[in-house]
Amino acid sequence: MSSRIILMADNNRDFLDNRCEFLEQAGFTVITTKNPTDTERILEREAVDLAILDIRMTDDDDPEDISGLVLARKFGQKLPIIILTGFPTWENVKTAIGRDLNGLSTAVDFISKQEGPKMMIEAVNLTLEHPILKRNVLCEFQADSTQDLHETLQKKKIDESADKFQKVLERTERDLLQNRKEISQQSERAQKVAILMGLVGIGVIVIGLLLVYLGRTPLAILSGSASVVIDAISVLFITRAVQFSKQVDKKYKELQKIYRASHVYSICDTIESKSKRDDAKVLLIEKLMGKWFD
Amino acid sequence: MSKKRTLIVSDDGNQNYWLKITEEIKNQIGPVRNVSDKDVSQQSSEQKYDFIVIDVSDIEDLYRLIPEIRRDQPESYVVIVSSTPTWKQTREVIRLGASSLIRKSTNFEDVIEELQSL
Repeated sequence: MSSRIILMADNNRDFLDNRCEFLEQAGFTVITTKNPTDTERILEREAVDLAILDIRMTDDDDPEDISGLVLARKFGQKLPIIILTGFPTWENVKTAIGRDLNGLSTAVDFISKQEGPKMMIEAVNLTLEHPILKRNVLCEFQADSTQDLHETLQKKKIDESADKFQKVLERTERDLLQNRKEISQQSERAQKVAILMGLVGIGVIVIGLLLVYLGRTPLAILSGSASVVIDAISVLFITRAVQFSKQVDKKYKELQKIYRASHVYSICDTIESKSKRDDAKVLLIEKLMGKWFD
Repeated sequence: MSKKRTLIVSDDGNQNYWLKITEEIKNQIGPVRNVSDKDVSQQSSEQKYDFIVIDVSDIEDLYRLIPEIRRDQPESYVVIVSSTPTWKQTREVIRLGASSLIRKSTNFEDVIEELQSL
């Protein structure tokens, strides 16, 4: 986790330095930017694992300034983005984390600056490590934060916790499968476009060679330039398809963890003595929660 | 737009507001069913819906209801309607699994527009 790179963008220098310190103390490498242009440049060029974007990045006094949300819309499908703002409104929350028909959202989380650095670090950890699983755990156990989760677990009876835990595993498996399916489809689409552009590029090269053969040099040069542009687009789509494939692999690994947890949990159910079965379930839930959240 | 199935979860189905919305959805989007939060679990496990609209003001335990609906209807678009939405409430319901939230205003067309925009 220590090698994860976080981009934090905010036009308030003091705030940025302060939060950057907290993130570095938590073991992250932090890149900071103070305006939308630099932020966009970094997001396009650097390999960032997560971005924390302020909404009003140009003018804090302008309610119309949603430059952070505009960037989140542009890059939200490329990397996880957390919106951090000093001016939270329900409309901005809806724009940032509300979902479309495919279940996709612009940003993965929304936090107010007033909620403090601890909440920000927690949101970052939640997003970077098993985000779907963790969200489902908090949702099923109706806990607002990981600290709240531990308290909730202690208060609940074993049967209730076990039932909820099983539901978390089922729901996470379903979400991950759906998520993986969507990413695979995006990957296939990118591959198809890449192949199509590649074929068009080859076609244009052949035409160029034919024009050289016919002595039409200016047209041949034009054709050559066009083929370079088309092939460059093809390479861009190949890169995109490779990125999607990596995401599919990541989802597969997460799924394997869920399958393993489900398997161990089903073994607990085979223990005949109820007290020993309950003890085993408590131990398993505590161990896994500890592993996933601490 | 092809016909889409909508489930409205409200404890006061006869409210003028929901009557108008039900009529409009029937005319513009597709079949609608109105249920109270007590009956929603049974209804959502029996029939798949494209849209589920939940009136937050009538629901006793929204934080239990949304995850339950999400489990039964993972592919539905779940819209929460609130008279006085706050940013924390909006974040909470979306984190619990809702897709979006809209303000319950006298202009019932907001709900129709939201569904039609999808």
